Amino acid sequence: MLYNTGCQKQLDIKPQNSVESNLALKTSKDVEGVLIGAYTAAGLRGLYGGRLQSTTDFLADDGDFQYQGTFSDYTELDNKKITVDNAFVEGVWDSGFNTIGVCNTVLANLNLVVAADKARVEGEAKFLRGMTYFDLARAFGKAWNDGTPTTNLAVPLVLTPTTTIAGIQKVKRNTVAEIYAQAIADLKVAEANLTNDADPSARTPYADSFAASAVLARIYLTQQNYALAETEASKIIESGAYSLVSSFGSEFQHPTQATHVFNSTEDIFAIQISAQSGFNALNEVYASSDFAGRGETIIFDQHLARYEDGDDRKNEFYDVFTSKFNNTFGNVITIRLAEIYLIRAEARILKGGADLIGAAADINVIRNRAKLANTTAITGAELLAAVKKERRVELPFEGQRLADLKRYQESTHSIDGDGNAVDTFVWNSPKLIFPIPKREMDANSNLIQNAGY
Amino acid sequence: MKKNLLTILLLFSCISFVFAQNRVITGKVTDQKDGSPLPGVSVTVKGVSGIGTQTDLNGGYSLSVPATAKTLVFNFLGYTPAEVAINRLVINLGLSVDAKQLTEVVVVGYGTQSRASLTGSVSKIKGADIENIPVPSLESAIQGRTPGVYIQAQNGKLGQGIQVRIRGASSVSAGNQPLYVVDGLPITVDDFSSNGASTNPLVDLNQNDIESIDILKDASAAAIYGSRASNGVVLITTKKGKAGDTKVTYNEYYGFSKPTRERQFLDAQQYVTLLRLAGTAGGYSTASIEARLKRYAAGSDNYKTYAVNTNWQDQITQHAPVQNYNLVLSGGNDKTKFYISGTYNNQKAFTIGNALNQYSLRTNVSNQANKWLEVGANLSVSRTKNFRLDNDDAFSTPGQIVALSPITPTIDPRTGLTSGALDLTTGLPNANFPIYFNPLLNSQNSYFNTTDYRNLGNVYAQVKLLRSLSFRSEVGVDILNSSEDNYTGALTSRNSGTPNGSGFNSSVTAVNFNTNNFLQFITDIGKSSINAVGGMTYQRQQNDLNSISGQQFPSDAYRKLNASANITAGSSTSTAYSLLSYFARANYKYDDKYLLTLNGRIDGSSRFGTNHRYGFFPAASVGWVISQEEFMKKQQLVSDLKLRASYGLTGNSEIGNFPSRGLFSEFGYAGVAGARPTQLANPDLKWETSATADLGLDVGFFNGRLTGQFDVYLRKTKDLLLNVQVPATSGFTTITQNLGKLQNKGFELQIDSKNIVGNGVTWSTSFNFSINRNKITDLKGQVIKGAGDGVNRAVEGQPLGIFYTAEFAGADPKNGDALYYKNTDLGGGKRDRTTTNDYNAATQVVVGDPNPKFNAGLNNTVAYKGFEFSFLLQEVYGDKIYNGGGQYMSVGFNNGADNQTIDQLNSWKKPGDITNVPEARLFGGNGVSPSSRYLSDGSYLRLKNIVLGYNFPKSVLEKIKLHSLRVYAQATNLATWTKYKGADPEVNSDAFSGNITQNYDFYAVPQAKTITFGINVGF
Repeated sequence: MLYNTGCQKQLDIKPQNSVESNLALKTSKDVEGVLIGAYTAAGLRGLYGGRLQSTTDFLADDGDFQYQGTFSDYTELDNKKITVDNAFVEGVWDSGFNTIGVCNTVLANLNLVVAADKARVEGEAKFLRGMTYFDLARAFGKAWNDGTPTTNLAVPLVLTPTTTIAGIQKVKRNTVAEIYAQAIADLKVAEANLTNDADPSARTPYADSFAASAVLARIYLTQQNYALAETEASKIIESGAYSLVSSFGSEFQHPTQATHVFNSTEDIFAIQISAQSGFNALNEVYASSDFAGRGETIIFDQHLARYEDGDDRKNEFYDVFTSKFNNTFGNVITIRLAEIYLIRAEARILKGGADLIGAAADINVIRNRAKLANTTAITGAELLAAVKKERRVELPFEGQRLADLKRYQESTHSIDGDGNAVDTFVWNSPKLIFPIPKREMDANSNLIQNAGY
Repeated sequence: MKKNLLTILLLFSCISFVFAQNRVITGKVTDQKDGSPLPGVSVTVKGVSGIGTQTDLNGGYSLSVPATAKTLVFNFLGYTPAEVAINRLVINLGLSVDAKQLTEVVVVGYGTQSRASLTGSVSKIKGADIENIPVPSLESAIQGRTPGVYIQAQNGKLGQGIQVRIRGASSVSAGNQPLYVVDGLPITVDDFSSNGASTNPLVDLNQNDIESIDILKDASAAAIYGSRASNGVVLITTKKGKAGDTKVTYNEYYGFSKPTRERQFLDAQQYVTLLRLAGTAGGYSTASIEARLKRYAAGSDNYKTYAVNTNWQDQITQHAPVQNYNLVLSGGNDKTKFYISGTYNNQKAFTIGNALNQYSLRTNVSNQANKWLEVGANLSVSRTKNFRLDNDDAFSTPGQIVALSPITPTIDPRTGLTSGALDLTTGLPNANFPIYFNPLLNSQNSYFNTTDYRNLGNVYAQVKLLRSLSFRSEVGVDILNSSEDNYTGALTSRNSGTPNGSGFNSSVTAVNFNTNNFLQFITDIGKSSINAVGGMTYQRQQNDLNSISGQQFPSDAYRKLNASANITAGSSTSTAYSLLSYFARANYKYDDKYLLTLNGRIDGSSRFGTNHRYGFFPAASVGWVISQEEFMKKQQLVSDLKLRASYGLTGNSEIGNFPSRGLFSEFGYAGVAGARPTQLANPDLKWETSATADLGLDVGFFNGRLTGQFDVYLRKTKDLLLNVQVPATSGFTTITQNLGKLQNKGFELQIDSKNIVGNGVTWSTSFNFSINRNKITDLKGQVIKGAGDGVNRAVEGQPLGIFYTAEFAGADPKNGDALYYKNTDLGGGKRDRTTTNDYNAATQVVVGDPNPKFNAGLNNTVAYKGFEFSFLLQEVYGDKIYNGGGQYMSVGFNNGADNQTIDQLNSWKKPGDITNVPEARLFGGNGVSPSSRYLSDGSYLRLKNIVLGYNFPKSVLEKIKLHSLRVYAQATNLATWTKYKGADPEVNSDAFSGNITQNYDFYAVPQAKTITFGINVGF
């Protein structure tokens, strides 16, 4: 027959749009490419691309704003009635473990990386893995201050990549304490392995040691380990490597940078978005259609009333929308210096041997940038109230609120169409914890569902 | 075609040995009906072997016969054989067409077969039946004409994908469309659409060039196509020239189309009244409700007097002319035959912005080079331009215009422009008026055009090696170049998200190379007949794609991407697969009574794991022609009776090109290249395998006046190519694996009756009926949700796509809350039938089936003198349709202020009201969630096609020097009888439909009702 010879060859067609696994990890450059791939995974819209922040903010919100759009996933979160097949909750889980899997692939192939880069590659991969584990544990597990972290379940701990079908494991959920411990261990390696550059113009957009310090500061604050939280925050602040952008609005608005925004002097870690890559899910949900968003999140007066007269941050609204995310190609800032000041202020107030003057100074840095006078708070309680207030006006829509609410043991409520309260949810309500996604429960019989679902 | 095919066949099977004899008989054989010459009729002497000839091109023959010869036998497939006593030297004869349908020739893979000797299940549709039907592609034309073939268009947009299911769906994750083969070569049917709504590459085929469509349904018929045969095979044969004078035929038709049905929405008064009620019930102050109404009314108070009452559906409906011009030249001589056809087809849809414009040219040529060699070529080129609409899920698609408020004017009096075009305060397109982006802005400021250039061609050579052995080689290519060109202007920014225009352009070149090389062996030994074929085939398809997207145009005058200041995406990709196969089939017939067919194919595919690269697909079938038995010859009633049985294996490999490989893919990070693993390797991946058993009965009464074909079948599919859900903690969410089983079983019948065959009047009826029952028998406990709301699911023990959601129980008479049956499983097959207003407390259950209980078609043709009248009724019965848009349009403003369907006027108003429409509460969420509330009966009976034609008589034609002249009027979808609450019941959202999501309506524009008038002239 005509094609009898070499017919095996005819059937051996290689994929061209992707690379086969056995060819993908051969050199140091390959592994470093997968490290960049880990950033792209972390930047997926389901995770740090925006929905980790927006889903937790809607869940925590008590009427400052409302989702009035057609994504029923957000509506469920806003109403604190999450169903087990909420696609955005599943997105956080799936993207989170995808990121962890890519990091694990990098870490399992460190032997290929040239000596000069090895510590950095390991550090960046562990930064991403540690941060992701901490955030997954907070979203899917009970808060650190809610009961016993050593028995409360968080998420499964997976530290090796899956490379074959046979290697797919039905893993069990580890405890909150175990996940926090792993996150801290990873971030400590990152902090030690990574360098930093004091000159902002020489910086890369990748994680440096201060990014690791920042997440460690968040973790220690959550664990009420105030001394260490202060230490980590101080590492960043006192290095002088970062500085607040002089005008609050400029931290977010970059109209002159139409296709890609470079990290500001305030950005400690940001998911990079450009016209060609990435997706800013915060722009999607918060910006109006004039700025490429869906115009579906309405800001209520309750939120605007939180701003003092003259607060520059109150100018970051137009129509019924926040303008923080008006650049569709703007980066998704996940850690910025202003938060580090507020972490340190809180730690200084609450640590043994409180440093109230230092705390007030930290608060004032934030207030002064917002064109407000120094705080009038003096006592520890007053200063703590001031920190809480500053966090609500400095950091709204940036994915901090749910953790704050639980740390401060506050309550929230769902609202009706006019913003009136409907049902109240206390800080440790099981409804303020994500369900384990139904898809995951169906695929893994070893998982235990959270209470309330 | 029959004559023509036979000519070819007989050229190879008969050799005339002409010796010097003492008598030469000459004559001419013609068709008794119209006197046209019949070439290729075999003329033999009864009882004497080795003497015979064939009629030439003009039907003439000349045969020397021995003195002892007494009778001449004339044989021609499709005609009743005749015997004539040799009592003169010139014997002219008119042969009559054999009334028995069983003598029909069917096209099977790599050959043809007479229906009389067929043991598999094959349905045939003649090209003449679907000529000039004004539908965009041939699937719509064959809808309802044959049993076991369920055809469903997505919506009324032109050139969109069409779902064809032959004997049900055989796969959950892999393809369920049949294999399409044109003149022996599998064609490209990939969907290259980029806008979320699929297109249909079969649009490029001109249905007027089709001689026949043969559909292989059971394993015996289809297994010769091996790994691609599980979903059935559609063999399309194009028209060929016939020997004789060159015929010139010109055909044109002109007509127009309208929507079949429309959904009814609230008018201005109803809208304002119900919205006020809903606003109050939803806790909104009067001031805020009135402010909302005023906003929708373009800032005017005239909504209070209902002064503006816009019917938005009218705004997207346009005059829709349809026109088609077709010129055919065909003819030839005994050596060379040709068919040349050119067509211009222009259809404008009734939906604004949607049209299809097509040129096509076909040339089929064959040449008998010498006694042992025939060569030929079939070539078609076409250009199809499709002016397309956005998918059903886009705010910009015309179908979504129904969401706009009837109190909103089409022209905003404040600006004098289309509502939404400009906000005077910002100078930007309006962000919150009308209620949603106005699709008219898209129609006025954007376009999305797809242009296909299609070249379908093949050449063949057939060599007669021995008296009963020939070799055929075919080489063909299908080259499809499809490009998309899109620009959306600045005024669409509320929808596109970019203030200064955005553009997209893509191009695909799909080259599909195929060669078939096979031997054919035909011989008779005593009472045995053997017809065998065997050979190899190799196919390779490569698709090369490029695309580019950009934003920021200086103005809407610039529409090409060279004017884009911000190129946001650019890509080139390439993908390919190959298939190397060996096939064989043997038909054995003994004494015209006992039939046996064995066939098989070995397929090697590039798509599968290294451990399973080759698959073997065998099939066997037997037939018993009972009517040939002696004991049947005594009676006159039953003229034909045949029992058939078949069993065999077929495969399905429609799962993409590289599902078995472990893959890493590139992802950019703000200009820096990265990669990450995207797919785990599965070297064990192999085909889905279907085992099909078919039992058939062919019966004919009254010498073929009434015939019937009955089939029952059971197809069990195993090793489903399934996207198996795995724990995401592995870093992956799905792996393509062979897992799961499903089955289809069913019954089909086809009855043809020649009710009146007589002088002047003929009346024939054909009826088909089919039942298919699909059931997923094993998914290892997985539940797979379809796109959309996930109400369509794949669930063990249920048919694919079953509607599985909460069961709605109406409105609570006390407070108007939506109620649902709890349906908690109480064990022992019982469920808690009490109701709840807590949606989460309602257990999800099976609430309906999107698969029809049965399909039927009834075709009647009446001819009287020159008049002919025919109509085709099509019925789909017992399916349910889910209105995915119901959560917005039929929900009493509970999910926003979208305009509502009129059934919402029956909403609960006060305690004691008994209604199944819960209270209207603006943004109240009352009854919004997916439930059986949005399900309705999808059964329909449709006057699919009706034609009235008149053929001018010969007397007139002679005067005006024409060969033939026919005028006709035709209508498609003229009437539809249905209880469906939506627009048209033939619906399947182009944004969500797939294997699982079926009968899901989402703002679909209805099917077209088209009336055309045509003329057909033969010169």
